[in-house]
Amino acid sequence: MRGETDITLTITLDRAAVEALSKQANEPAWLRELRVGAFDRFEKIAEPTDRTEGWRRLSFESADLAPAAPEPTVVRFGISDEQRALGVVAMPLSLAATEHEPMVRDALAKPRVGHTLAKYSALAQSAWQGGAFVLVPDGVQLTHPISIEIEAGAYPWIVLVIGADARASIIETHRERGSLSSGLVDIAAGAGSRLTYAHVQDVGRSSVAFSHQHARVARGAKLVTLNFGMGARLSKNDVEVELLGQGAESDMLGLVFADGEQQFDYHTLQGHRSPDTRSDLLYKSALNGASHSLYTGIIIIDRGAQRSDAYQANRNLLLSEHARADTEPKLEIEADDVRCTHGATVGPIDDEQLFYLASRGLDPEVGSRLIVEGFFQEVFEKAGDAELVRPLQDTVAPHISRLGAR
Amino acid sequence: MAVKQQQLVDKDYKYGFRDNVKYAFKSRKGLDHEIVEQISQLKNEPQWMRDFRHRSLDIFLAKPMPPWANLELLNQIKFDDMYYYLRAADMEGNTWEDVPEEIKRTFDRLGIPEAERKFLGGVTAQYDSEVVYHSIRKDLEDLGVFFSDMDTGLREHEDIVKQHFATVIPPGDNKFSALNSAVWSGGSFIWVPPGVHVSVPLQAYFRINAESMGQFERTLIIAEPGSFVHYIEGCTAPSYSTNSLHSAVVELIAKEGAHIRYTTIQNWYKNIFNLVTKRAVAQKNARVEWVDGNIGSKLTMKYPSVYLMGENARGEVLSIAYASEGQHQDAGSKMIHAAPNTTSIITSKSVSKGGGRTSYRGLVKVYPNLTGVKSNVRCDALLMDPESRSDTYPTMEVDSKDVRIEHEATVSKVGEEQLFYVMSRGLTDAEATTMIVNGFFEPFVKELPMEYAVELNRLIALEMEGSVG
Repeated sequence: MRGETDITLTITLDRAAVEALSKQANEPAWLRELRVGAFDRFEKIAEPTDRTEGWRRLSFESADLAPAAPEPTVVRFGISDEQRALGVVAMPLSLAATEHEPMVRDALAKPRVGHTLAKYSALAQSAWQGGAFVLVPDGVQLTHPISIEIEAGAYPWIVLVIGADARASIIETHRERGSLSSGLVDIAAGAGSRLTYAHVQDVGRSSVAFSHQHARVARGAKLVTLNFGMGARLSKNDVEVELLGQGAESDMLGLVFADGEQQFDYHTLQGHRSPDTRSDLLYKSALNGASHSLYTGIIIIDRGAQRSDAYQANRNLLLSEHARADTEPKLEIEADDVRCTHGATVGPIDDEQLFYLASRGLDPEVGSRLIVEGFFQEVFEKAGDAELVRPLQDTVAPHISRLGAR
Repeated sequence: MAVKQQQLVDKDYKYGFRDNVKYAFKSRKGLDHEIVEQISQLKNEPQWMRDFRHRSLDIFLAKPMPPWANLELLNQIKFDDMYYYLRAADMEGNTWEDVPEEIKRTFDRLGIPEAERKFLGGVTAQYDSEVVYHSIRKDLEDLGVFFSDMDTGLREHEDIVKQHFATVIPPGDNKFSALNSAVWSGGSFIWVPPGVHVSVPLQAYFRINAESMGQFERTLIIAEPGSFVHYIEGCTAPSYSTNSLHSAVVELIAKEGAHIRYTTIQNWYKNIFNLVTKRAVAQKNARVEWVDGNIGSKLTMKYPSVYLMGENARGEVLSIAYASEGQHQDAGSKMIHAAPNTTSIITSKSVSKGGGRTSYRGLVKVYPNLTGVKSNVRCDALLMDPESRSDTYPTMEVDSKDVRIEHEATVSKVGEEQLFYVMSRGLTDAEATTMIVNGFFEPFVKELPMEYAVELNRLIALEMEGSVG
């Protein structure tokens, strides 16, 4: 079935190959330059070692971080005819680069460097093919989520443009099973818009999944992101939200259910670049087996971003003797009229909660399950979109019900 | 206007006077093996210490600056343009009368004799690199407590020193511990015999005097099983314009069931680099407390840590930092849980004002297969104006399940309601702000002996002057 692609797998990635990709896709000059520039960056940045900042506590010696061969991203959009009729666009990014050039160019103009994924983010920017582009025009208010399923391709690039005062929910799901994938997400939330975006990573347990997400939130807009991590042996993510306009808001949610030898690493940025901005982050991990969660988050409040209100919480629930959690919530504050708070916790299921449930006649196994459910439920509820989170609840449910059954 | 400016400068730093001291010995500027050899020879040290110094110098020269640090400030240090060893008088005075008049005058102005009268404990006063005045109350001697400067400690108790020296902080730990290991001079040596409870705080006063003078105290405190000791270190320095470096190493060893409390108030003048490595080991049932105040210096990098090596060991850090214009207080704490049922508490409070920067940098680490570990970290920061900056960089690495690790931090400005309330009681803006900042630091201040508490409150009031426009 994939006899054709087997041949392309042997093609090595070099500058000429990258240029050929661009030529083949008939890209405008600025996009070709972006691609080639990214490749140069990729080559220049050293391979991560166990001493590299942001990689130090990960174990990836045995992981294969060699770049996968470029192959077109296969995307399936879940979008209704009604939504299309409202002017919503969902198409491959490669197509949008010519059909909606100004908008795509605006969304991608500044290369995203990425915090800890710099090398692999650059790799994706140089080797992507196809990709996905969703545009919700100004003022269009959607009531049902749009879905984007990534079915194949190591370097999916997803660009979401939400027009002024528009409203949308988008769920992006990764289930591809390549050994290494590095995806990019660029979100531009226009003034006064509302976007709820869920990123579901449920790829094969033997693969390495990198994701670099970058969002720009304009004046008065509100962005809710939910990162849901279930798959991969090593999942590493840079999630950056820039609150660029006055009154911009962002809720950043994260949920990890890890087992076996899985490692989940999230680096988050809450960038308060304008006054009166608000951000609220809650990342939670339930860790079973010998899994390992690493969380590093930074809140930056720029000079002049007065009346910023920022919150950041990382909660880790250790379900087994060998599970591990590292957490590093950071603050850099350069304005004085701010409210900025963060908290982090690591611990097992609370004995008192178990005792309470036992006193209600529940045995510890059932009690534990209920507590884990409740632990996740807080995040699902904060997402504020029942239709969007239902498939996530369905995905995690069987894992929770297996708890304690071993 | 110009006059007013001058007044402000004078008021700014009340210990900013300078005495002309005759230095008995002054090594040439710069640092190499020859200087290290000279220091060791002058001190007539045993061969192992001499070798240790040379080995440390190699490490210092080879190690790069820590990449995460404030390199903009750190790179201002001119290591080659500095003296590494000075000795004000050849002999150490045993009684107050023996201390040279000039030095005595400096101490008088700092209130040392008063402190001595009040505390009646031992006083180790460090004037530049060498300890010149030192007394131990007789009953301390009767208890069998050794309290001296580090050089004397090495001479008189070589076996104890050799057994413990650099076991907590090896020279290779970081660039500045390597530097200290190569050129250390002075500092305190304390050994408390098993079961002995030292009821009065032991204290040492450090001062920097010579221009471009590095000060490299080396303190080693060993509390044998079941003993208790409280050590107080306070710092002030005269106002010189050339950047000066202070890089101490402090090692605490609390053996089974022992309890060490170490209190510091750092108020170096604002041209001093204060790069300090402080670390304690707490064995079974032992307890170590760091009470750490950072008010002065240009750049302070200091992260007092406790390695909790035995079951039920407990580590506590209570720290405050105050940064105003041109200052960066880069402080924090580390708690390493390496045994079951160990607990730690870190409470950090900071105030940034007039473009000052405070950073909290911390680590809580829990090794695998431990149960009953608890840690609580709490950081609060106040920002007094839009020019100032506050950072929080905590790290938690948890490799065991049965643990409770909590971290919380807040950054805010002085609340309008608080100000309004206090002012409605008839106080001015400035008085109200001072009162609120004093209240913010209160948990720290109340852990200090009375004299220090009074002085610290006064210092804060002085610092807060003119902070509300």
